[in-house]
Amino acid sequence: MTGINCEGRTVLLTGAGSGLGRSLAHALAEAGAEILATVRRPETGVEVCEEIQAKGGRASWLACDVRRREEVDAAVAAAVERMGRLDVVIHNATTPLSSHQATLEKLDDEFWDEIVSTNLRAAFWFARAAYPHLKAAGQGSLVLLTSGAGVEGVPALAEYGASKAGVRALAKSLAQEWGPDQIVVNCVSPAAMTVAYERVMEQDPSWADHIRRTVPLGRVGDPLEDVAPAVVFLASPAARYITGQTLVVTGGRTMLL
Amino acid sequence: MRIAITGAERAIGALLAKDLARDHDVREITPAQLETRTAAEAALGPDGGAPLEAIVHAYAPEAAYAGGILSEMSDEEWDGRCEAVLRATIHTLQAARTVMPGGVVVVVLPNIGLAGQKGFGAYSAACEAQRCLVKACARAWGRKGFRLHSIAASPLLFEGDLARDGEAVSALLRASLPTRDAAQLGQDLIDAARFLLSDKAAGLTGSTLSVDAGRWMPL
Repeated sequence: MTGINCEGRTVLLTGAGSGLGRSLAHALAEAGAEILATVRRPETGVEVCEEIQAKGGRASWLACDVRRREEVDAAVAAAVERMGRLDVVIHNATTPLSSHQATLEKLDDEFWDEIVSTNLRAAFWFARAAYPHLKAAGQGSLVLLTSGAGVEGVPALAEYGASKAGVRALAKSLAQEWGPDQIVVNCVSPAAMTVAYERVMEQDPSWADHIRRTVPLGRVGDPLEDVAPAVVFLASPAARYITGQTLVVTGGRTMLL
Repeated sequence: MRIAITGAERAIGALLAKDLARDHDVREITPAQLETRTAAEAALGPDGGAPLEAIVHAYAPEAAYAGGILSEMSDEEWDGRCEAVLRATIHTLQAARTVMPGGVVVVVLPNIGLAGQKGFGAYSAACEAQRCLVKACARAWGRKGFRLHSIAASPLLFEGDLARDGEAVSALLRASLPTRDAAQLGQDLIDAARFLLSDKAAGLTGSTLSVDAGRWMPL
């Protein structure tokens, strides 16, 4: 039986320096994966890798601005060079502007470009660059982080939600195109206490009460304990017959299908 | 009703423009008028008369209808099939909010965003992103007198590779209703748009109507 672990899997993880990404890095390493962690700030890459290595895990880091195609291509190349092959790509990186709340008419083209470049365009770039390596690996997996804002439509996160909705459709199309190559493509839609979420709670203290009332499990998820296991599962061989899906990890707040 | 239609120069937009012009005051918006927010606001603003009451956004750049495998797609092809589509929609929605006192916006797009589509991944991403924009704006602007909807239509109603691929997909899938040809689907689309534009849909906003003989049944 295939276990839900990533022993022997090589993983490229973006946005690994902080927040949810940092938790994902730890969880994947604990599950046996070797990781190339891409980060915006080098010091965070050093920190997360030292933490992982101190626990016996295998990880290296690379500074990568996912808004720049040459850096995306370089990250994929580095992953293959350092780890010998590439089994899994997890695109988690986003921009701090993703939590900036404003209705659509108050935003400009520059804001939209920042949002779409990190969330959607980068997903396309990573997919394109990684495809031959995931195909060569034999049981490849692409995991894209999306958001409930991309399902429900959130008034003050219209552009962020749109970019994340695009990620879901991109994943479904890729799943169809890559299926013959035994590469699975899935999304995770989390609601977790990240820095961005904390910022939202600070701006609107009533949000905590709103969570208690609207989330069946009555709390915001913990990145490491609640969200990371879902990502590890989709990155593992145990999910090899699951593709084109979105795993919603929100404590029941969003119930699709 | 004073209605602006984008994409009226061809295919599905032309179909809607022609039919709605029978009993409405229709203003056709060109692609160039959607390239910037400023241009969109000028195009959708009052033209000396009363303000618009509705917009039917059926425009997508022609490039969007060309197929392309994502792993082989250039950045320019990606932009033409995905981001250019979104820029036009964002400018349309922003202009609507700015220059209209309220009204109805109906975004017409192929249903490929609902389940993805092999060979049309870039455009399917744009379609789903547009649906989310509609929902977000419906929530944000409902109390400002706006209702927004999406119509997710059969690919047979569109152009180029998308329509040709739609033929092949139709052959594989079984419709819930007896197979309808493009002319029948076109009338279905017109009827759906007229409903959403009318007072009969006064209690609806943020909805997606699938006009595809029941092929895809989203949530």
